[in-house]
Amino acid sequence: MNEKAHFSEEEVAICSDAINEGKYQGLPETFRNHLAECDQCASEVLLVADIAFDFSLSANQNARGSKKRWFFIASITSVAAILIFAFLIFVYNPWNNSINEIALIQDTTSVKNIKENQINKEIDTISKTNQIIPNENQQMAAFIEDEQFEKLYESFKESYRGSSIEITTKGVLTYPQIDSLKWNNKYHEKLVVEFYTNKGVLYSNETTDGNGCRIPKFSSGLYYWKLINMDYELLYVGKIKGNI
Amino acid sequence: MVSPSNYTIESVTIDVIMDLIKKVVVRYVGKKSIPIREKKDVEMAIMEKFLNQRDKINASFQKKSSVTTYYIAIFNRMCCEIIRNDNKHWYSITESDKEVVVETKASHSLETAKALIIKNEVKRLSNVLLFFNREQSKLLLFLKYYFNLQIDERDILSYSKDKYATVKSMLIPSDMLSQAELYNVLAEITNLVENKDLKGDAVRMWLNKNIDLILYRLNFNNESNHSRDSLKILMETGGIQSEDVNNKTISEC
Repeated sequence: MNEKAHFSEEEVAICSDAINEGKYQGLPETFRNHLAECDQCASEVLLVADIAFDFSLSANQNARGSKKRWFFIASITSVAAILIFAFLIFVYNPWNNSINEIALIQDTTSVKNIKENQINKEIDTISKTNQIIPNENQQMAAFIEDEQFEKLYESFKESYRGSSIEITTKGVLTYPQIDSLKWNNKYHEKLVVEFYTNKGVLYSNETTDGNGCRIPKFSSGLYYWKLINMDYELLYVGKIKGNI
Repeated sequence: MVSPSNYTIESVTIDVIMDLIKKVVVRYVGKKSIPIREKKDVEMAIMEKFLNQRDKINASFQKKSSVTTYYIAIFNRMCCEIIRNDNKHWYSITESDKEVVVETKASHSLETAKALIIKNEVKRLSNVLLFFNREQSKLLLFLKYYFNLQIDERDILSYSKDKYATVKSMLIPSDMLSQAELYNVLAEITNLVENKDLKGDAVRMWLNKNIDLILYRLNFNNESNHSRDSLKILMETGGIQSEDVNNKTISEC
């Protein structure tokens, strides 16, 4: 450039940038010589450099502010997200609720199963009870005394007919603890032993000329036995309680 | 946010252009070159001028500087042109028509404002001293000695180069000297470093001329109203130092 001509706008800008960037000594010598001599251009360069420096400062501040704003917004958003997440986890707990629901469903199912089992058990129990009840009734019925036989039993309690036969096992016998009937049959008379249920139904009979006979297998219940000779005389009536 | 140095002609938005225009105009408002009531009108006038000449302005840009600095230079000249054209009209308005500026509460404290102003002026002074080129280091050393400011070793080295030790020993504290003795000392230093035969009076004329030049450039276009006293304060406050040490250390001299 002509050292005597004033700077163009871009030359002013070049010098201003060089001053702000600390590169003034890197300017062409013609530029520096002109600035040393021309007050007008020197002042213009100084003013433009000053304004440009001010603009760069404000631009950096805006950038920092923008970054700060974004950082602030990002921080607030992060904190809010963390708080919401914590709230959901510890207070509202939708996932655990779901899990709870699942567990609840499972529990419900298991409860159902349990209940069903219980019901089944109860049913079983009831059925068993029902089973027990008829058994008990049966058992109870099995021990119900027969009126007729009781009278006969009472009449033969302490006495017996027939002088040749002496009953050893008297009274109420408990079977299977006592598994045979015993008497003294001196003359080896032929005797008939009849066993009856408590309903008066002939259970079994046996003929023997010995001094006793085995009691047949009884289930639980009350039984009666008759001892009869060949003359059809009733010699004894006894009771047997089958206690199986 | 795009750094100013990274702007291109295409990336500069209208908002950035308006911002640049406002920064230029506010300088002249501060100097009272533009009345505050005319501020917005001047800004709009500059924007209108720019939009009308935008293609020509952009075509002239050779990308040797940053586009924002280039635009600032453009807007500065436009603003000066508007001031030249409308200045008489602005200040022909009577007192009663003048806008009363209500002082608003400052957003910064007074101390902060003072610090900012001083910092800005120190920067301007540093830039002015740059324009003295090869005489910058000599002028800075002589100014500090003249104003009885603390002289940094770098200031001595930057001017004296390999004669550092001798020059340093010659710099007697100036507050003990008269003006004549002070200039004689500086003359001896000049003769030693530059191999000349000058008297104190020549140094006095040289130093006064350059002080006036500094003040002139600082105050050019009513940018400021500095004096020798304020110049001394700026130099003392700013701690301005010579940058030209030619990569030599003190131990090497």
